[in-house]
Amino acid sequence: MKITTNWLREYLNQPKNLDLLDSMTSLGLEVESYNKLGKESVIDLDITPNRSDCLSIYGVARDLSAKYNLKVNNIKMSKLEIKKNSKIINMIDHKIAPVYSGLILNNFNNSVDTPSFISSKLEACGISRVNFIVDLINFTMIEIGQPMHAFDIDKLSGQISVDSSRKGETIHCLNGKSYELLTNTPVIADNSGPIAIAGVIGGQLTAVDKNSKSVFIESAYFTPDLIRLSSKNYRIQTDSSHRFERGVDPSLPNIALKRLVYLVSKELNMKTMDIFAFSKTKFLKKSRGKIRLSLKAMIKNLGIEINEKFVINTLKRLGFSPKKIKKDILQTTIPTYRFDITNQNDLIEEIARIYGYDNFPSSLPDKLIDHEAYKKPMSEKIADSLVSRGYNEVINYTFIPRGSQTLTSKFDHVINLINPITEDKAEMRSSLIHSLLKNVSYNKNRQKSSVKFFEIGKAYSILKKNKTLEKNIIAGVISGFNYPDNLKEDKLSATFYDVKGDILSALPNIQINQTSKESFLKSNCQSLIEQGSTKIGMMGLIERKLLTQYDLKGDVIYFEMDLDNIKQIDSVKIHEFSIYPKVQRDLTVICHSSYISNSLINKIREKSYKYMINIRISDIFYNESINSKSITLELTFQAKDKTLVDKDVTEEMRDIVSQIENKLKLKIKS
Amino acid sequence: MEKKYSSLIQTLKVKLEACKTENELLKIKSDFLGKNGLITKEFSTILDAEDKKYTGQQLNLLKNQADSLITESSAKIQNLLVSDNAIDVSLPGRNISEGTRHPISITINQISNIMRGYGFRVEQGNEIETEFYNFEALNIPFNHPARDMHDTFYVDTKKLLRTHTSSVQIHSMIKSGAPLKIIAPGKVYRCDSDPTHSPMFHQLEGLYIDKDINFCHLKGILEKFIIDYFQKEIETRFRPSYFPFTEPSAELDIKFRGKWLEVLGCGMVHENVLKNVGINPKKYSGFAFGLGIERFAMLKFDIRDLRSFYENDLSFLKQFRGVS
Repeated sequence: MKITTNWLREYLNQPKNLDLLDSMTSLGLEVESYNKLGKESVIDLDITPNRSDCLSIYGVARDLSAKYNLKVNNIKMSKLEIKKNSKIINMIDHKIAPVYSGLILNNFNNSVDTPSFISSKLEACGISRVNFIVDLINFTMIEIGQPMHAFDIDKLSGQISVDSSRKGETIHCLNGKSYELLTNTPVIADNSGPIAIAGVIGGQLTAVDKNSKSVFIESAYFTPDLIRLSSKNYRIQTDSSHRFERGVDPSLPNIALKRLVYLVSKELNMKTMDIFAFSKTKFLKKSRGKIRLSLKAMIKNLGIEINEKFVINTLKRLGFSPKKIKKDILQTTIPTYRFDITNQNDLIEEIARIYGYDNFPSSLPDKLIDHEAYKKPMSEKIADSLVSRGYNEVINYTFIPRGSQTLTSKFDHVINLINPITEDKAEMRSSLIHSLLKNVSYNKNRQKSSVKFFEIGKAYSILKKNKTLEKNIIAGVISGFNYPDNLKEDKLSATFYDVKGDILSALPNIQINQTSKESFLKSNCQSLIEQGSTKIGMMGLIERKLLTQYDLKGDVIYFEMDLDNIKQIDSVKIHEFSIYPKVQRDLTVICHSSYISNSLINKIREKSYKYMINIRISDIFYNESINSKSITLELTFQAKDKTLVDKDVTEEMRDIVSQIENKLKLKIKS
Repeated sequence: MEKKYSSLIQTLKVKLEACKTENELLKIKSDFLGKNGLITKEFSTILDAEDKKYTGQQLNLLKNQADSLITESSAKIQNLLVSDNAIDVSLPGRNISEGTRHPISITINQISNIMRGYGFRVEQGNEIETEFYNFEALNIPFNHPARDMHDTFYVDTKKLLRTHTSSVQIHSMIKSGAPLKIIAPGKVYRCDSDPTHSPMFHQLEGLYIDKDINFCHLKGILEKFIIDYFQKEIETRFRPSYFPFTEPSAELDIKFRGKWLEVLGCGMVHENVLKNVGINPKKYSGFAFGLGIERFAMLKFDIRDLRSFYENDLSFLKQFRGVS
């Protein structure tokens, strides 16, 4: 809401040394911006939704006056007589409008120019000019906070009612749009149907224009919840709906009419008989009820003693009427414009606000709460390891373009946003692969083709019965050189094995040995990632079709692990190790090129050996012309209690060789 | 005898002079000091205990002399071997990691570490939430205008993407009750997007519930946090604001480059919120705060454009090398 300092000064006797912007800030009236516009200084205030009482110049002046003990000037009004009823009214549903007041101006000249003291203020406040009476109505709204609406009486058919809409009714509104109304929308209607959506927006057909000769000006208190519902249902937000849905002081409608008549009379010489005002009211309470404040409770909450006199004076200046009814207890009525005050804590907040947050001392609680000891999360451990192996962490939007997941997940597992912001942020990702491929593609287009990325984030999916699932995932993607800054001889393209090495370095207690069958990874170029018998993820080369989707070529390697399934290693039991020398022997086995090398080791391990303590694959040689490969195993022997002699090792080697030759039917290279 | 010894040393010296490789040196060593070495053999010439006293001493001296001569030669040979292959220490190291954490993760970790030091425990929450946890339990009923502050993404008619990490408060209070001292970092979603707003961003929520927690404590902890995070004295101010789930509510501003900047929303936990989760507000009180991770990262790392966080350009990411 924009206000000008000059306008504010008309209502607030403000001392020269008062810094307006700082004062507003300290009261919780957030200053969005402050600009000079011609002669006016314009303050744009961001009023929080609880403070509807500050949605006007008068309201802001009232709040400032409470803090600085200043005087607020009276609103200049006409001494208009307000009748109980009018023949223009047919029916008023007081559930919609507990207060419905109106002003009828006959023989009225709306073609005069808006006086410059009004138009310049409206302009400064960003309100566009319409015509004389509408400008005055808007002026009054900014000034005292009451939204009003003017109808051209000559365009009305019959009397008007405040009622609920019926199915099928339509209205063409002042914003240029037509709306088919739902049932039970609060409307203002005449014999022809709805002529305004109550409290939100008026209809085009009954709008006041320059040539209007007699006008009906509505000034009401509408039930906030109903207005909010209308505004939400039709997605219309106006200065009027903004105020009504937050709550406008029910005592304001008549004041607003009197103020309006005062302004009109200053410009137009109207006859008294042409001015008629009425107010139909179901109830008009003098306050919003009574509440109590315990001073003890206040001190407990705020942490300091604030004396009773300050509390009473502050509340009085804010429009409350506090009385001490018991030791420690004050009772007060709530002013009609304070919709945000309903209980003791609301009062405590008011006291703290006026006392000034900056006047509270800062202190630290001297307590300790027992928490279990900190344990570094799995995601952090893996992240640290990946970073040390050259990976850059990325963070992506978790919603991705519509239809982009067809290759990676089942259609009915994908979560679609009901109200996406754009089509390229319409689906929740069920895997991190798309986000990461987009990152590869983005950087490749910026001449960075060697990338190693990882992301920690969620993958989302729908299970049966609309149950949603959020999995915590760590995923990575690698393309180009493994270490692009190495010298030429050491600069190698990243392979499956580099990534396997990266993962096993991060998580030593997992296995990557079993071929997997993911459709978005190349067949025979992918593996499960397992921890014992638990599947925790998969890795492999990405399928060409999916790469094409991101304009990528060549080998792009991907891995993904479910963080919630990985068990942490917290401890280890050290075993005694031998001090006697080790003996190493090599063994080269010839097999088909598709043979899974690890099964060789598993086979040998089936039997337990006394001295053989370790096997590892030390070399591999492919003979592509005959589809074969030779796997060289390095076997290590060691005894716990003696230095091995040749015979000990040779015996076990003989046994191992026979295992391979007889059980696996593989040839040993001599 | 002594003449024999000095001639042995002389022979050794000549041989060492001629020796050029390690293998030759090993041979020489074994010829003189080995099991059947020339010097070792001399020990067998000792006749009796009387002789041992004198000859033994002489032989030991001889042996030590030979030993040190051989060691000296060994060092010479070693030097000879490498001097031809000097290391160009300025060549690049092999397999240097250019890995980095994302500035958002760095910031979450830095803030979490500070908060852990104050005794807060880190909690994680779901991003897909129900209206109850995101709004109702936080004292934001269906028709409340405060919902305008949260343009909400819906997943279906009942579920939404959380608009703030405050939903974790509710889960934790229901699960653990009071006292409670937690922080919850994570992604949150609002459906608006412009250069200063992103539809997805990160928040960190804090909640401290115990007996006798008051507004001064809220100020104390948060002021300390600002100093600990920026690692320098920074001017702060608290000003009244509005959140349906706290009362009194405040915004914390910091003075940055001469301007006041809003960095954090906070307040005393609203009585209704405590009641909603079954904590007795007569017995317990507390405060909550929520901060935007991106904002804190931008201030510390001088990041100007919010979009840089999600573009993931390597030229941006690699600048965080070594930062954690």
